[in-house]
Order: sequence, then C-alpha cells, then structure tokens
Amino acid sequence: MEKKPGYELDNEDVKLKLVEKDLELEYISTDGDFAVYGSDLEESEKIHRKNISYWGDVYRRVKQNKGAVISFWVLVVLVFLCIFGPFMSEFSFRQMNSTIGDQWNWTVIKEGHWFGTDVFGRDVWVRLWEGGRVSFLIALVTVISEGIFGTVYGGLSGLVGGKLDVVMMRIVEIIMCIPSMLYIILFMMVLGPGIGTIMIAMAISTWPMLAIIVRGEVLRIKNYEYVMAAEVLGASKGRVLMKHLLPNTMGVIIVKLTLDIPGAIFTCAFLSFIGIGVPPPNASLGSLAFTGYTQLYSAPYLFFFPAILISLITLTFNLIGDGLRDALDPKLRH
Amino acid sequence: MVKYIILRLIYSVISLWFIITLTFILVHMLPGDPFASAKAMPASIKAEMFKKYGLNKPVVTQYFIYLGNLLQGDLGMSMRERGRTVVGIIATHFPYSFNIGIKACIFGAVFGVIMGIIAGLYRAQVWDTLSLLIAIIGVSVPSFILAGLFQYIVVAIGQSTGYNILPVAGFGGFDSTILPSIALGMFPVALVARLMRASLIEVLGQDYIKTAKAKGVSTTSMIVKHAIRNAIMPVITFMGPMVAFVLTGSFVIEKMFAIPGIGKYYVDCIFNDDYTVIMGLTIFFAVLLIGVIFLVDLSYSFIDPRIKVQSGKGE
Repeated sequence: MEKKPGYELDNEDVKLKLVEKDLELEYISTDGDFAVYGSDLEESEKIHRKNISYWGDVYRRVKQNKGAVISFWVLVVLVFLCIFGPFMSEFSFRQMNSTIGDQWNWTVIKEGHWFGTDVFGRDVWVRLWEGGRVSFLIALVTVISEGIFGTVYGGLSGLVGGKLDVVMMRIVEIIMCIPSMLYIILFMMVLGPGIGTIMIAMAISTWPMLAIIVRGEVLRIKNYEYVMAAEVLGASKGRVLMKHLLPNTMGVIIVKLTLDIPGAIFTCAFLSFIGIGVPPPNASLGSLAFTGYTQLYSAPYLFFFPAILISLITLTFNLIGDGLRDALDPKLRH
Repeated sequence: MVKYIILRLIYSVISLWFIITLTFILVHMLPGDPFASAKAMPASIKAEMFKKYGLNKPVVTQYFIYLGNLLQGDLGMSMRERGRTVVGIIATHFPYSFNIGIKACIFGAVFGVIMGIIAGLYRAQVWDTLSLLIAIIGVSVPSFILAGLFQYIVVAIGQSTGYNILPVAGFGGFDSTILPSIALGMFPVALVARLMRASLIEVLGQDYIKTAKAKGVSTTSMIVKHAIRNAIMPVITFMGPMVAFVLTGSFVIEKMFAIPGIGKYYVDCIFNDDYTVIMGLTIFFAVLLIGVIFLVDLSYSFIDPRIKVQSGKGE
C-alpha cells in the first residue's frame, strides 16, 4: 500500500473505516481471539545458561588445549614433589655419607636412596627436589616483582601520557638495548652470590618488556567506549583503573609472566652453571646440573636428573603459556 | 628515514654510554681488590701497583680517564696477566667465539626457516606436528643441557663401538665445531621455525596468493616467489636477539667444550677479579650486541618497502 504523505492512519481509524465500508463484514476480531505461537516473550527473556565470565571463557578455551592441560597436571605433580619430596625420604639434603660415594644401583636404592647418591654420599632424590624448590622460589619471586614493577611503570606511563610517557618510554627503550645477561652477571658479582641476589638481578632485567606491553594495552583500552561511558557517568579515575583497565590488561600480563618463568629458571640455572649462582650447600637445579656435569662420564645420572627436571619445568610452563596466549588472543575468538 | 636512523643511532649511543657507566660503577663496587689474592704484598708495593694502574686517583677522575681511553680504542691492560692488553685478549680469543657463533647462527637460521616452511606448508599434518614438537623442545631445553647430552651420547657411542664420531672437547678443525654449534643453534632453530611457520600461514591466506593461483602460477614458483619471500620478513627481526642469545650462550658452551673463546675467558675473569678485563669485555659485548641490533633494525627497514613508505608519510 502506498503511503500518503502527511496522513498517517491510526489503528482505530482503520477499524472504523473497515466497519463503515464493508457492512457485510460480520466479525471484527478482538484481543483474546488469537494466541501467539512460537516465541514466548517471557520465556525468551529468561537466562537459561549461567553467565560466562571472562576468566570462565578463558578456562573453557584452555581446557580444549590438550598440551596445556597435561602440562598443568605434570606441573602440579612437580610442585607437589618439590614441596613434599624431601620429606618422603629419611635423608636430609646436606647429610653426607663418605662410605657410599656416588652410586646408583640396587643396593643404594634398597637403602632408600631412590635416585642414588652424589660424590659426598648425599641423597640425590632429596637434593633434586630441594634444588627444584629453590629454583621455583627464585622464578616465582622474580616474576612477581617483575609483574608489580612492570605493571605500575607501564600503567602509569600509559595512563598519565604526555611528556611523562615520552620520558618513561625512552628510559625503557635504552634499558632494553642493554643485553640483560651482562648486567645480571655484573650485579651477581657485586652483590655476591646468593638466592636473594639472583632474584634482584633477574627482576631488574625482565621488567622493561612487560612495562611496554602494559602501556600498549592501557593506551588501547583507555580509548574504548565503555571507559568513556564510565567517565561520563562520573566514575573516578581510581574506579576506571581498578574496574576497567586493570582487569582487562590482566590477561596479557599473566601470559607474559607465565612465559617468563621458564626464562627465569633458565637464567638461574645458567648463572649456577657458570659458577655465580646459588652458593653451596644450598642447591639449585643449575648448580646440581653443573656439579653433575663434572662427573658426566662416571656418574651421568647426577647430570641427567636435574637436567630432565629443568627441561620438564620449562617445557610445561612454555606449553601452559602458549595455551593461555591462544585462549586470550582476540584474533582466535569467534 | 634519515630521521629514524639518526634517532636509533642516538638511542644506541646513549644505551652504550649507560652500560659503560653502569659497568664502571658496578666493577668498582666489587668486593676485594685485584691484588687481594696475591701473596701478602708489602704495603709500599701495593701502593705502587695502585699508582701504576691509576687506582689511587678519585673514582670520578678514573671514570673520565677510562672514558677518554675508550674513545681512543684503548680498553686498558689486564691486571692479572702481565703485558696483555684487553684489546689484545679480544683479538686472540674472539676469533674462536666468532667461528662457533657464526656457525650456530647459520645453523639456526637455515634449519629454522626450512622447518618453519615445511610446518607451514603441511599445516596440521605429521610434518607440522613433528617440527612443532622439535620447536617446543628446542625452546625449553637449555643449551648447556643439550651440550651435555650430545657429549654423553658421542662418548657413549665411542666407548661401545671404539670409533669416535666427533671430538667432544677442544678446538681443532671443522669437526670440533659441529657439536658446540648445534648445541648453541638449537634454540634459534626452534624460535625461527615457530616464527616462520606463523608468518607463512598468514601469508598463504593473503589475496595475492589467490591471485597468483588464479593466474596459473605453478605451485613451486608461487611458494618460492610469493609466499616465502614475504613470510621471511619477520624472521629477520629475530636476528638481533639470536646473536645476543648465541653470545651469552657461548659463556657456558665454550667452557663445556673447552674452547678458548672470549666467553670462557670472560667467565674466568669474573673469578679472578680482573677489573679491567671484565669491564673491557662487557663493553665489547655491549657494542657488539647493540651494533648488531641496530644493523638488523636498519636492514629491516631497507628490505621491507612498506616500512619505508610508512615512515616517509609520517615525516
């Protein structure tokens, strides 16, 4: 039907006109005559499924990644052993037994040295998990301090912007140019070997990259409509930061930190391997591998046990990190 | 473009100055002095030694003297080995490291690219899974563990068959560089393979590949001329970090394979408190790495025409 400009029909008008024109029309429908089939309005408004939160969604995606799931459980077992492994054995990590020396055969296994003994007769099983614990601890503290510092620095730079941003980013770029291993070694030498020193040295070297990533994320999210909407509605800067910016940057931060853990464990092992890591009698995986390496041909298990453990830890963290990254990647979302 | 180069150059110089200063400060904070371990030295001789090496002057003066000498290419004398200059040490030991480092880089780049291409072309097939597996293991297993494993396997084979395939220590001919180069190159292989795979898959989905196919270009020439040429770009950016990795990795690898390279010497100096050599070598490494990263950055913007256009518009 053609619409005539300037004249619009009201519903009532139509009905009336129909009645006037066609008198033979016997019946005019009223409201209750027809029932609506198909979609029920009330029913369609109901929420049948639970809301999937952002992290719930991430969890769902990661769960589909077999490598990441298996790695996660392997990691759980390794962490468990690093915490409780030493208590399973009757020996302590510094208890020596000069009569045994380095052996790994049925006689020592029956005595309770499951993974054999090192050159001083110390139990390898206990020392391995003890070393693993130290390495985990170092990696964890490094990554947490990196996370805090990098996030605050990058977040501040992105949030405030302007000249401060330029200056802060120039500083980061300059620091990034310096090969990190060189100044980690220098710091280790100056501060003296020790677990605390390694943590400080490594935390110093890792934060710049994270700061750049966080700044990029903050700059991106800052310009989104929902942040603007929140600001227009009168949300304070602090609320915007805590409610919108931080939760949305959390994903990239977590991926970066997960992928940095193997790096930290590797660096720690590397330092111990060149002799400036964790001082004896404490053991890290690197120092165990190094002392094992000196007897590579006479007692290879002393090298290979810590070597396998280092590789397993870095492998699992890499796979979990990859899985998380894929799960968080907006490009892969449908 | 020129503006960009100059800016990058300024950054590089500043970071170089920063590391020189940091090295100077840190080395002077080191516990112990270089003559501490020598047999009890009479105070007068010690004072004379300090005077000879300029250690009795105020630290600030020492710093400027050092900077001045540095600009003239003089990194000072070793405090441990009489009559050896740091520059001389670099000249004798660096060629060994260079030999192995360059082989590791070539190995890493060539094998990484080949693996990445295979994985990218046969996506989600056996070859892809296999090369991804090698890649993730290569990324995860530290180079010194690989080195130990190689040495052990080679020696074990040698013991059981009585035939030594490859030398496991020392620096001789080409065959003695194979194992250290592979141990150093595995990490680059893995990273390059992953990069290459991802970038090849992206390129294969582009429209110009479809156009080439539609024109009837043969599969081989399409892959070689259109896909790989474009996919290899991001791999070039990895060259800088790769050199850095190979260099720091050499500290351990040279020690394990008993190669008289600069990395092994550096680690030895750390134990000897040889101030000037530590400083000199750190600065040498820094110059090397920052230089390489700078060059890679430049070459990238020369190779990729898109970057040229973008920076041209921006100016």
